[in-house]
Amino acid sequence: MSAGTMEHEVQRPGAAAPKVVEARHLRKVYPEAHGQPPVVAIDDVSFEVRRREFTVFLGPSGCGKSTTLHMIGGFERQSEGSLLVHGQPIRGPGPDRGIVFQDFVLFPWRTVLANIAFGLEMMKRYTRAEIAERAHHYVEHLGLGGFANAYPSTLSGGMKQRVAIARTLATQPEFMLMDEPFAALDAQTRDRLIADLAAIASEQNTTFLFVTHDVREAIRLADRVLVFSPRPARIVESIEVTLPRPRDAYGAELLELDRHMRSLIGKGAEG
Amino acid sequence: MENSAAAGAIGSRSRWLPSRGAGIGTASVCLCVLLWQGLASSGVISAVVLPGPLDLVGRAIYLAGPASNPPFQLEGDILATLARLLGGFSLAVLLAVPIGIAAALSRPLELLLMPFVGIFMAIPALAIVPILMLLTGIGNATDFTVVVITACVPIVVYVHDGVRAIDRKYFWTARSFAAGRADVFRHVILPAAVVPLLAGLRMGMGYAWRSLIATESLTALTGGLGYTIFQASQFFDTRTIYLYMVVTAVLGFAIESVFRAAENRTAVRWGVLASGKH
Amino acid sequence: MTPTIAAPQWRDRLRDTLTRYSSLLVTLAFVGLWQLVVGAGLLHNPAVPAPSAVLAGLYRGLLEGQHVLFFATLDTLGRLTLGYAVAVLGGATLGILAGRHPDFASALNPIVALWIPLPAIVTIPVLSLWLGSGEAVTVLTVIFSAWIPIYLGALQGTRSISVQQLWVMRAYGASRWSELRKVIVPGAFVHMIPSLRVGMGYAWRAVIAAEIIVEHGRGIGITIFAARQFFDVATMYAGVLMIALLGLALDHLVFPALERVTIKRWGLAT
Repeated sequence: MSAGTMEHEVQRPGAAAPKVVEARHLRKVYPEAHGQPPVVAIDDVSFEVRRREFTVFLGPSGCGKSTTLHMIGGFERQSEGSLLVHGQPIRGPGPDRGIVFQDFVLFPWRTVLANIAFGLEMMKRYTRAEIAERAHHYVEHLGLGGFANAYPSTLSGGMKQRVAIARTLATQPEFMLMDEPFAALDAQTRDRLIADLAAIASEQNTTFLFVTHDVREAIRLADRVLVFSPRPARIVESIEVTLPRPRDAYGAELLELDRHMRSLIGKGAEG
Repeated sequence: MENSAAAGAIGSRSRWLPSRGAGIGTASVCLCVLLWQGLASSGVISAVVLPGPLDLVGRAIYLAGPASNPPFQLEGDILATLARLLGGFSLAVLLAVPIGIAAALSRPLELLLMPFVGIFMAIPALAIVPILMLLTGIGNATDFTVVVITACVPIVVYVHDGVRAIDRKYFWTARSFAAGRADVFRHVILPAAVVPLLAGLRMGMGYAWRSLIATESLTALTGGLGYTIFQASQFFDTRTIYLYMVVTAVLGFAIESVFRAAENRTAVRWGVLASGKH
Repeated sequence: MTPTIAAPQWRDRLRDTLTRYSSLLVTLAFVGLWQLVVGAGLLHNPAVPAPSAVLAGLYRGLLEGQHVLFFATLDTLGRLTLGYAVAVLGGATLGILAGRHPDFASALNPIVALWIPLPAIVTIPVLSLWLGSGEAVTVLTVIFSAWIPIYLGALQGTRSISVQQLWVMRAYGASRWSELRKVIVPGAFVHMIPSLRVGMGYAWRAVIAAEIIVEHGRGIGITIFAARQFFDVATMYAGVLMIALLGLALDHLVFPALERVTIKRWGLAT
């Protein structure tokens, strides 16, 4: 899998890139149920995402960053506040916002190829031949060659996540939402997938929204990191990451950034 | 059915057990049969009370041939029972699968229907047979109805539980690809229901088989395994009784094995459990 | 800055309560509807009595005259308890033995596999032949029905006991007997509770079925069948109601209580 080259026609994000997602004073409360008191998952979250900016939501586990992602995806709705995509409120899930989950959510009754083809089938826009061709392309592109006819139950975690990513990429969504996609994988697999994802991100015209609690992951992938406080969530800081890619080396700048982010994650706990 | 050849946590010598277990099992069956034949032929227990296996084979040959009354009685009885079973079971599937899916998808429907499922689960089939006999008379209708009722209950439960267990993230994923409701039903709900359905079919078949034989002994007018067993007991025809017991057990086991095989093959290929989890 | 939340509406509370008691409400609504349909004469089938008639039959059977239904219930429960107890002791013992000695399990395997599809009721002619018509036949039918799931549960439970626990006991020099008592039986028991439930279900079916066929003495099944001769439909339904209530009580009251006392007290979860 080759790293993206600079000759690709898409432009790198910068301050001039248009805002594609705008969140203002988002608040999410889960009402009282089954004897549990109401839960404030998100208290007051505001941020912006610019086109093609790889944005990472970073924060401790259970702090509401996944909930924020779900709201952008249209799977959950905010209690208060506004959330706009291209200036329009969100009306539910859609093919412009593809999603990848931590537990893969592959259809166990479909082969790898059929899983990848799923989104393309649902769009009802392509012939069978076209779908097959595209699906095979992504099988190769994500390093799944030879497994096209395998069932997900026979795959390792890393392979399954590749299938999930391929499935979403195949429909070329404008946004790729990724909810802690590598958290269930072992360290080596995670490492490899981070590198592969960074390569994919650089060559695709997609805006990535990535949730994680792993600081190193955030630094390696992000153009911008939004640091969340523990629940109830608020944005503690928005950090732009301008280190040159690929970011595998442990330079002084990277280590400083790492230290800074780690110190932020514990912050903001008190009201 | 537990395969005892599966290595246990205690004292396992896993590489050996698969063939060893089957070997011991076969040996034990042979031993029992020999012991049985020994008891019968030695006259320790009278041949009337305990006919030996050879006696039963002889009886089987007679009943399966044209000389029995009615001719080919054994085949006729097996077919009669199977016909009632398959007929009732087919209807049960046609009713129970939509009900199970509907109850899983609609909360009001679930609250409305599941109490009745619970009630039917608590009542043994034979307890309602007397009432059924008043409603549907003696004969095939009652047998048929018993099969339908006893098979419906587990199928509804398994299908309902299986569909309910579908993680909402599957629905989210499908909808994020702009799948419409019909697509979600066809591509998410139905496939997810397959393994739980197969498990429910297996359970339903087991209950239906046992209840049918029992009901036949009370209500059948003509033919059937349960019917003949009880007819035979009126005439102290022990050879027929024992023979039909063996036939019932073997046939029931064969049917269950078919369903179990279907369930396992799919479950293993997809890596899914009957509960819908994987 | 404490987050503020809207207070729960009375509407939500009502909905929660309705949901929790929905089974009961639905059943009552159904019975009410049934009563209306039969009472208003919309349904004339003599085989379908009004719920009021059924309840009257239940009252008669339990509290009036000879208390027929009451004593019948006691007798049925007696047979059930006896048969079930023997099935549990026998099935559990065999299951634990089979769990500890895989060869024994293999030997029993085909017998168990062929036993399962055999309806207990089919063994009644043979049992009657050997033991005559009487209580023994009914109780044995219950035993023959109920022991299988219990055996399987005990087998499974014993196999799943972690070897480490046993090693710890042996390291402390525990005798085989106390090993059995302190580790194996409780460990197997935890896994057995679902099987005990299933076994009770089988035992219940068996006792009713056997009563209907054997027709000896008193019992709920016998009462139902006898009522059929007299076309006393109300009593038939009352008998079925009795069975349903007892079955539900066993499943929803007795077994959860058993689980609470054992599993939760011992701090184990399945």
